[in-house]
Amino acid sequence: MTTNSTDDVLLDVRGLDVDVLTPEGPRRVVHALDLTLRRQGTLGIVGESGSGKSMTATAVMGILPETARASGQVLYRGRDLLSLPARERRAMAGREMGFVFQEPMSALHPTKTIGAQMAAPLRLHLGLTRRQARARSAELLDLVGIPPSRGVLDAYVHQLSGVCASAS
Amino acid sequence: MLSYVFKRLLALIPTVAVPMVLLFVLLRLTPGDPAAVILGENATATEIAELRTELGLDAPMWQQFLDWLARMARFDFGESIFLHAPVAELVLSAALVTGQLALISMLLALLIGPALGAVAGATRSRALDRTMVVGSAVGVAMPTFWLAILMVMLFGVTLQWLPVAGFTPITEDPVQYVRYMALPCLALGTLEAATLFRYSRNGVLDAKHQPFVATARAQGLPERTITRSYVFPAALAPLVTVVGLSLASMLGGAVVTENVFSLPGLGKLLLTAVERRDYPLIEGCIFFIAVAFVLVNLLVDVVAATLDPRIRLEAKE
Repeated sequence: MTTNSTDDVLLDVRGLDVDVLTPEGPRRVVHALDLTLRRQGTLGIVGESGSGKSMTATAVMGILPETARASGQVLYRGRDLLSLPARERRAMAGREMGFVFQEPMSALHPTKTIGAQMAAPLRLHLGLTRRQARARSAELLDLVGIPPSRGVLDAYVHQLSGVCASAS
Repeated sequence: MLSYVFKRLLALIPTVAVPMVLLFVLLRLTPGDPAAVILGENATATEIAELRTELGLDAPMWQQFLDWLARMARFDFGESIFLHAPVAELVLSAALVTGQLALISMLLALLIGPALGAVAGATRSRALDRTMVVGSAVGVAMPTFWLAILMVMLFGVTLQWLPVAGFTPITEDPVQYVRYMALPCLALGTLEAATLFRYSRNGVLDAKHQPFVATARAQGLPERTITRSYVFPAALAPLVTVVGLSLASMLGGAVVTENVFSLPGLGKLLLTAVERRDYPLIEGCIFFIAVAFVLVNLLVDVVAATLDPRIRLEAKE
């Protein structure tokens, strides 16, 4: 790893451990993981199922299940996310960091419209009004190839195809 | 939606007809002769035979059934053998009392149960959760009659705050009405609250671990918002079904509660009717209960569908 271009490094994970609490005691599912992600870079993690890919990603995002604990360092723009107060971390989630879930059907709330769920972070982070957030959501869907005429904003997740739901 | 409701209402006819026919058969198969019960132990065989003729009980079974069918088709439930009053009147006035008991108790239960259940499910305090779970377990396990009798002993006998049993219509004396209704509603409501508590706590615990909660976290929404507008709605929507079923069975007469507190409700009326082999009265009660059950279920389905967009109302062909 080069040390002279730290400005270029967006995400630097050092010695990340993730432990899952099981009835038989904690079980380590991610061992001393290091990874570096540079600005404008793309990083793929490959591994067999159960090897800890999702655990790594959710640990970085700060959305581990209640029964899992992460330790080590997750440096984002030089700040350690793991030691950041929950409030500051929340301010980043959904604004600077995003997450696309594997199972779109269960990752969206069953009784809220797509529009309402897309608008929530827009209103929270960008301070948009309901109307602005709705307009922006429509734009975003349009960007990924779902024209507003499809009525996706007012649909519920069970009414969408899997592709549509992931895009949302 | 409207055509769905209409279809469901049509389906009401067989749903009510089947139990009614079963009831007709079962009543006549059950030992015990209304004429003998009415006349008491000292009646002679001739007297009993005369009364049987008068009541139409000596006609062949098929003829009784056809007569009965003709009357049912006209909603003519006849007169109570024992109380000498039209069955329809007796049932309606009893249903009014039971309806009030059921609605007030359910309201009480709804005020207490789901709120506490949501708190227990959402709290991080193990002690608080455990305490409430134990409390609800006691509530669920406790038989109605036992709680009712304990309450009568405490508030009625020891403290003498409230009357032990009886009923005054609200139109006659509102204060007395409240005094008479307080204990039965409290007994029934508390136990129902325990059930609702368990369902809502489990619902919240389940919803907390759903992937859509992780999504909301990844969007950076505050925990409080997530709990309030993501976890609770997903957890509480299924409660409608539970409430509906409980309400329907309460409307069928809270037999035990009504008997402990001597409330002139449907459950008490039905019990008396059965004891006296008062066929018309039994049939009237069961008819009303069956209709109420079906209607409440229909209402529940409509409400559930409005709360949860996944449920679509479709009439089965």
